[in-house]
Amino acid sequence: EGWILELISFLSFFFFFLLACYFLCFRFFLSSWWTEVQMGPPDPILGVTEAFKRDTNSKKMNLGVGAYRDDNGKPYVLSCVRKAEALIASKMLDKEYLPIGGLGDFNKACAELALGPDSEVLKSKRSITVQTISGTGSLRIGANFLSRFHTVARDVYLPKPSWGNHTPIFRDAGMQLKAYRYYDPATCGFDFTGALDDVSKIPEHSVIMLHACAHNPTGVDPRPEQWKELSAVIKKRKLLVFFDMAYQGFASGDIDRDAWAVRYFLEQGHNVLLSQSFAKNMGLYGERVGGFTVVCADAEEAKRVESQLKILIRPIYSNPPMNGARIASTILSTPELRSTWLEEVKGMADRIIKMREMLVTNLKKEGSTHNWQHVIDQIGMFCFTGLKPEQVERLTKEFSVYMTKDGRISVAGVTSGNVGYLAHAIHQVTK
Amino acid sequence: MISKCMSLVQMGPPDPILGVTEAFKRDTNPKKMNLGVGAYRDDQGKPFVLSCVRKAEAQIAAKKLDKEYLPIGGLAEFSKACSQLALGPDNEVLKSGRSITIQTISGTGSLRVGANFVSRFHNASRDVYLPKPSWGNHTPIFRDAGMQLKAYSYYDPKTCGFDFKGALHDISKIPEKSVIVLHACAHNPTGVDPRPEQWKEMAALIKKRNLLVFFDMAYQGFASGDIDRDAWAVRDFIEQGHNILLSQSFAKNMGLYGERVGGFTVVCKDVEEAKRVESQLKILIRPIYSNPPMNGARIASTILNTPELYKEWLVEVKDMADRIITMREMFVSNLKKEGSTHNWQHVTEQIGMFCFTGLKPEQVERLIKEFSIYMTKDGRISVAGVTSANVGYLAHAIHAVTK
Repeated sequence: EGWILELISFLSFFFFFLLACYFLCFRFFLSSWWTEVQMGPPDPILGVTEAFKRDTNSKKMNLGVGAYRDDNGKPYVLSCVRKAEALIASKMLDKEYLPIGGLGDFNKACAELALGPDSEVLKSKRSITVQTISGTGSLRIGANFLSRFHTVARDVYLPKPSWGNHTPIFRDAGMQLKAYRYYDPATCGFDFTGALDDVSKIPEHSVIMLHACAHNPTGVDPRPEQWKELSAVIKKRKLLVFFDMAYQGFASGDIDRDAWAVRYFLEQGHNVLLSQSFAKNMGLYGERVGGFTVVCADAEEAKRVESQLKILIRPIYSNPPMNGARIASTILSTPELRSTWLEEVKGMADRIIKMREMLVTNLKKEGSTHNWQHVIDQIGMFCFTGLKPEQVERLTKEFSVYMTKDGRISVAGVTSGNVGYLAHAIHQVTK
Repeated sequence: MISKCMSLVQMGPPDPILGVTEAFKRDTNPKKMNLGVGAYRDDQGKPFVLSCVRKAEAQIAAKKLDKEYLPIGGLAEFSKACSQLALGPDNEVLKSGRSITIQTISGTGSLRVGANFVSRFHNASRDVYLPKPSWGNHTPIFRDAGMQLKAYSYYDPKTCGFDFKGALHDISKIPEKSVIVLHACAHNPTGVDPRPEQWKEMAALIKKRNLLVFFDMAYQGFASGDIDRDAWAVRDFIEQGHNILLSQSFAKNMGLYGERVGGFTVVCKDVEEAKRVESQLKILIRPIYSNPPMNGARIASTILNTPELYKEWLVEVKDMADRIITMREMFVSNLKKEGSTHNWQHVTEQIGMFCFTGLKPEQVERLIKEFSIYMTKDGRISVAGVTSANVGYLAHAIHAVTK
């Protein structure tokens, strides 16, 4: 009979209708805690890599994030790192928590690398070095420490420009950001007069951030005599110096030369804060190896500062990751590995210097009439090309050459295989 | 130039938990026992690296992987497996994609990212309710992130068990939209967990009070020996419609302590909300440490995603849990042998790595000074530090200070 079929289809429909209502209502009443949370912009630097990955152009170049590449454009794991890993693996070590301040042997070697083994500071034990989560972790611990204990001033002065992440690091830690002149776009070099002028006006006891070597993003470093004058003015202004040294060894190829400014400032009596990273100079990027050092008046003060650093760190991550620190420590304290490392870091720095020279040669060959001298004068992984945002946009869209909007390229991403294409592309957007 | 400011920096007190290990190391008594920090020990009292971990390490080493930065949110295969472990692979939340899980610096890192996230985006309330007592580090984590700490009754010192009535009573008064922290299993420091029917009542009451639930699950697998059983409360709350926050740690259940492996999950209304939340988590994390450490996450991911290693892991985690249960039983029988007339039932009823002995600070002090037995001042012992060789000495010492 027809009416039975009709009844069945009506009941089925009704049943599904009720089911649909149930699920709709269930969803509706599911609490939403995060309705007000906005979609945030992608990280300007790491976001470049994400865009690069999506690009299907076979000639694409990633000159965004500062990660070293060999001349085949491949990530490079140092041979001293592989050897250290093999040594560590053979020891069958346990995985017990490190102390809050990290691996003791690492901290000691880390400080010695920066300050030099004969440093008076180290001999008198008037500094404390803690292992941190690479350079970022070190800067943040420092920022948090300043925020909590440097109550006499809230202001942190960054060079203009500085690494993009410096700003949120200090801001999220509760400090106020200010700037001093640094880069001169007219020369693509150091605005020494402007820097001295600004620094001489910074209110006493403010924090001043200095890039120890291989300034990021510009690659522009002060010369030794310029560092000396800066040191004198900073001392006169009684500023608290915070050195960011992420490229020791990577800039000139010589670890002592790259640490010269840090060591000079200490000799001049500045009790500095210092962040170190082993991401680049040991290629330990994702292992997250770094150090944070506070140079104090004496050993007693260093102990007090250490206790407070631990209290600060414990509710952030309790204790730092062991693997990278073990590798770095093994390399620094095993003579043959340390020699190999010094050679490999010089090898990386030399390849970068060569790429700078090849880029300029190729730009001239393309017929560019611009002055590209700054590409060779600048130092370290990055080059501030001087390109404008619209030109950067064209490079990305038309040539699949990726860099950050400020025109910064990672020279580490340039190879003898692609330097010609890069020169061609840059010439196209600048002629 | 000497900074005047550093001279104002006071010497801070040592960490109550990690400070115990430091004091232990300085002690020269051959019978000394470290029952402070919750790190598993085998029956010889030695740190235990799981065999599935060694195998995973060998596999990883053979691949000669590079050391490029992980994404800000960590290793994707890890985050996926991590959330599946907690929620169950067939969970509706995972199927619909309405949650985001990121790799963190173990449990502490996860809790702190969560605390910072709540501080920045949960404008409806500044209050975080912890059980009384809770893990000591919870307080500075939330406080340094800018939240206010409050508490709800949890432990009943009279029974050394769960104060269910007290908990319900306190929770019923918590202002709407406050954050409530729940230990998913193996409560730290008491070892006292609610029973399933008690969890159900709490879930209903918490829903009625419209509270934001933050689960801390540091011991999945370690409590009962069964990973699904230990995650039951988390899964039930989600089924009841709570959009929770969840911190996970692999320090204990995979013995990855110093590698710092953990996860933080936000269960959202839908995929779109999850994407917005993810973007803000990345913005929060980038100025703390940029991206997380790779080694431990690779190990955990290899184990979770390789069937034979996963199976082996489940067996090893059950063995660890079983050894702890055995030690609890031996501890109680030894106390009885010593002639103790106290009721030590709670030692075998409590679950997980820790036991809240009920000892008073003066008794704890005596144990340290007279017997070189180290524990935290609240009378919490790490049963993981007990072995068949030293359980007799421990029982003797505890009897001596409590008779």
